[in-house]
Amino acid sequence: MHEMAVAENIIKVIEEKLAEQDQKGTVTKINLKIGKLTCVEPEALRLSFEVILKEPPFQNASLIIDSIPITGKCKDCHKNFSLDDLEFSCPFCGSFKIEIITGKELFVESFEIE
Amino acid sequence: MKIQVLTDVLKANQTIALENKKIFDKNQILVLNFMSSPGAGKTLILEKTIEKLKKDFNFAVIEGDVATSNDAERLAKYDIPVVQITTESFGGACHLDANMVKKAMETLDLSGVQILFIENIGNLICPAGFDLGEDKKVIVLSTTEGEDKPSKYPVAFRNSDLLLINKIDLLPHLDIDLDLLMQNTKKVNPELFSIKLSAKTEQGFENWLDWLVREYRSKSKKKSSSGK
Repeated sequence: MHEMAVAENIIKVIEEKLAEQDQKGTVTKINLKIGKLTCVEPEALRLSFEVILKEPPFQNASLIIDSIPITGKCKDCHKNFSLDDLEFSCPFCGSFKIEIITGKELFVESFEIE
Repeated sequence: MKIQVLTDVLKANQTIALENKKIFDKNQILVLNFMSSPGAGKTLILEKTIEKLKKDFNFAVIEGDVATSNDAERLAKYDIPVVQITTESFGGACHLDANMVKKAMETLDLSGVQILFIENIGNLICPAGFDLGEDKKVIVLSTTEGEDKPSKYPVAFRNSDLLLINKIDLLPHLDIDLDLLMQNTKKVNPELFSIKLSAKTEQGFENWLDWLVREYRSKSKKKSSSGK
């Protein structure tokens, strides 16, 4: 389950940011952007957080996951489209020459402390 | 108070992967990251490959497993440097990450090594998300796994550079539709090159060896021309 590794990395990112800004306080909310092409299962990630978020300053943190759909652009007909069915071809002209625009995101957008 | 971050969660892994890659490039080592389901035949493919090309190339292997060193023991008999990573000590992770490979490199004598195989943990989901610093990702699929694996695990197939379809000696006994498998593969990764083989009977095996030698030559050529 690599969600555990992802969860640990998220904690690390936030701890680094807190140290960098010399902030103290309790983390109340963590806002994540997770693309659907990352293979990170939101429910498994929540579970991982429940296990590791017991220690301060994370004990009250809630996880807000913004799921980002997979979208692409055709390099032949230049149209944009959604790729939620995971078929990596252009639905307009059938070309396989496509560029993935969104769906690979996996980042901490922001977090809140009090 | 809201604090903006916008930091990629896997940035730490990417950074270490790039450091690993620099070391591999500097030493002119071709590095392949092998991924598959458990039991697809990765270790036997590596054993046969090393057996056949040992005279011409210096190999090394990094073996990833959650537990046991069975696979490393199978490879150690070829008298090549082998390091076993068991992820038990990393929390039983289901994939190798760049840092584990970096640690393994500390105990691996890379001098003179030309081709390094990294055998990832048998799993078609997690390994696909973690770069290790490799040149190419090789995905092994055995014929007993059915034709829908590329559709079920699109990211692993999407991110790979070579597909080895193993155990073709079993085809007479199976219902798998290879044409459908190729169609499903093309849908997720139209550029994925594939080779059908049997590590056991060695049918088609020379095509894989040709690919490997070609990749090695192309990497060492690139290095010598960019070094001038």
